[in-house]
Amino acid sequence: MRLIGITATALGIAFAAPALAQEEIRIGLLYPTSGTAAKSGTETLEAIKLAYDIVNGSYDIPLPYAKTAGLPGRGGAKIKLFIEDHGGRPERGQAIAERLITQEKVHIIQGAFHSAVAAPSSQVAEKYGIPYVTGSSEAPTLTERSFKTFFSVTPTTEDIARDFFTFLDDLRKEKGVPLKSLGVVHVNDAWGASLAKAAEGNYKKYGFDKLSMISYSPQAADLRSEVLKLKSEAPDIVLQASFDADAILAVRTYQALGFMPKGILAMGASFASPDFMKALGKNADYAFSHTKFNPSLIEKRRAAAAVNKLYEQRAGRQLWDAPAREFTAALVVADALNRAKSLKPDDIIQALRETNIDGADTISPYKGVKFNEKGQNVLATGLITQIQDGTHHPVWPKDLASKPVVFPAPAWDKR
Amino acid sequence: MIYGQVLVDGLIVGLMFALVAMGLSLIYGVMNIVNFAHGEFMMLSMYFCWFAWHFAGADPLVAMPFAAVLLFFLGVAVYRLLIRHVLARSLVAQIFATFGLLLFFQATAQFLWKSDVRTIPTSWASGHFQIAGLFFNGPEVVAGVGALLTAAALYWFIHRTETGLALQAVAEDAQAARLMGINDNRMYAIAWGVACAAAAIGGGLLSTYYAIAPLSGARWALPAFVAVAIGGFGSISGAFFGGLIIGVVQTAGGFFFSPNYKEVFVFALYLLVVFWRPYGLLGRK
Repeated sequence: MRLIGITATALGIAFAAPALAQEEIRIGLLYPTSGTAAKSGTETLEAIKLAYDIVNGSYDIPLPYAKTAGLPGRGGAKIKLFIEDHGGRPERGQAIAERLITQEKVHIIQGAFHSAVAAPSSQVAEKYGIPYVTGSSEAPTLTERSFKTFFSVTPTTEDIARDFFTFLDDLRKEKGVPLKSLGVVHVNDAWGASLAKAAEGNYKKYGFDKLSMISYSPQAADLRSEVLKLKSEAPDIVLQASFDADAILAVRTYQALGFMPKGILAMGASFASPDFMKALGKNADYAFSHTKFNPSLIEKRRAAAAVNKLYEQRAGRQLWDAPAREFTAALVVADALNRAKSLKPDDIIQALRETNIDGADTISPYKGVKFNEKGQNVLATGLITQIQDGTHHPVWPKDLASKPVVFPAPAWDKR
Repeated sequence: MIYGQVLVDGLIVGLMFALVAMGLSLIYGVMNIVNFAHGEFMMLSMYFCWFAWHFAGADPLVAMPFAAVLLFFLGVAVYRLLIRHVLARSLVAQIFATFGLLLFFQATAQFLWKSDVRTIPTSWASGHFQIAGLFFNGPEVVAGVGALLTAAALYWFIHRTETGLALQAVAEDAQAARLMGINDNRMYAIAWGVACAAAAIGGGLLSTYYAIAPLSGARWALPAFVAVAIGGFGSISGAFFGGLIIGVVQTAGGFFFSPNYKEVFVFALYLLVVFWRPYGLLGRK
């Protein structure tokens, strides 16, 4: 009887211990603060650090876990960050992930900005069964591996293509403009090809019956034959994946050769860069871009204004795409850690699987956060912006739009 | 009509290739050195025009002659400080010297001016028009005409002026020319200066419509090398026609087949020329 009593007491202490002692939650952050993406990486890291500071401290911001100090579900447990720089190098990222897991004993890893670094470092996490969350690495191949431990909060290039097509479908209905043929203009690298692949797989499903593919080398001195070919095929809509210099050259050549589709939809940042708008002036107008953050969200998402203000104090500039996305991912991590039964990897993974966050509780345009069996956030959508009078205005989805869409775009000489 | 447009577009691009190729060919013809950094001189001129526009509001077409003078002296300086020392050395040393120069200029530009893309939004040449159903872009037409005039001036300089004839003499036989009282060292320096000035004019013409970045010149130099090879190494007029041929072949090949392979046609043509006339269309043995 006495033995049983001692055992029971011992068991009781063992079970109660985690709740009594203040737990320390260890999160590894794997981002580039050196190398070619050093600036973007550092700014992204600032947003993540801000997110965890908000969770640890007590802030009057309408976000989950902001008002309470620490995680309420874990008795106010605080988060400790282990920040590492991978410099954009996959092999370094892989080695750091190994060290974070085996030496620092982190409970979860968040990374990595570059998809090329996220791939090998999440492989390490999968090996040890440690959860890995990304908010900005958008290659669809990452979640197609169906890892048990990998979760992607961000939209992938596949999702971007899906957003484009849904948007076009909405336009077709709203404006009554028939859209039958699609042109894809892309640089012939892996990123450009991923748009081409997504377009090829989807165009029929979304009511297009003709697809023209134009790929070009980013080193090309001129794009005349590309544009002449495009013009002879006369697509209604052009999807484009270009870098900064060739985006400018392409639009100038469209104009010079009198090629004007009803709309140009650009993937990536080139059409959104200030250089692009400076170079083309009013000819940059009416182009569409896909993005995951826009200053207008500061009005539309209830917490965004306060977060943006805190972020500006730290980073010296407004929130933008990648930092905003990783901020949201950090809150997803905090939410899962708060709900997890224990800090055992399997329990955290289970909690991540059960994630169900409403878009309004984030600062992102996502409809929400909910993972499928591959770990991809199925509610991740972006914003489609249109340049009007030299500024990007969200025009889709409707509830986040700040201006009505102008479609079809007026001819070059009618601007 | 579309065939006409392809031809016109090919010729306009070709004229710019021709101008770049002529500068390359001049240096090679006179001293048998391949200048890999030729595109970088264009890039420097583009930046010069951008700064002139940005800080002084000068139209690139106004800044261009100044860029040409400046780059003439830069060309002379490069010859005196670098090229002179590798002239009598092995081919490998010469290749490393000019290729090193390419890396030096590109990296310096990236360091000083970052990899941001700059553009000059408007110029006197801006605008576009249509003639007989063919589309023309103002800056490109101006660039094409400018390239043509510069090419003509280069031809005149080489074939009709005393300095040009002296250059030809040095190219023919440097030792004999020296015996005739021609200072070959001075001639080499002039060849570099003139070639770089021609590159500067090319860069200035391009800056009216082309995005300016550290790698902007290199994009034009590679096809120009092929133009030189097709036209015949060392032949100024060969380089001119080589440039035109490349422009048309590339544009037509890209249009009628796939733009992805447009360079394939250029290099295939080059191979044909090499098999059929190893010294190029107008080159001498």
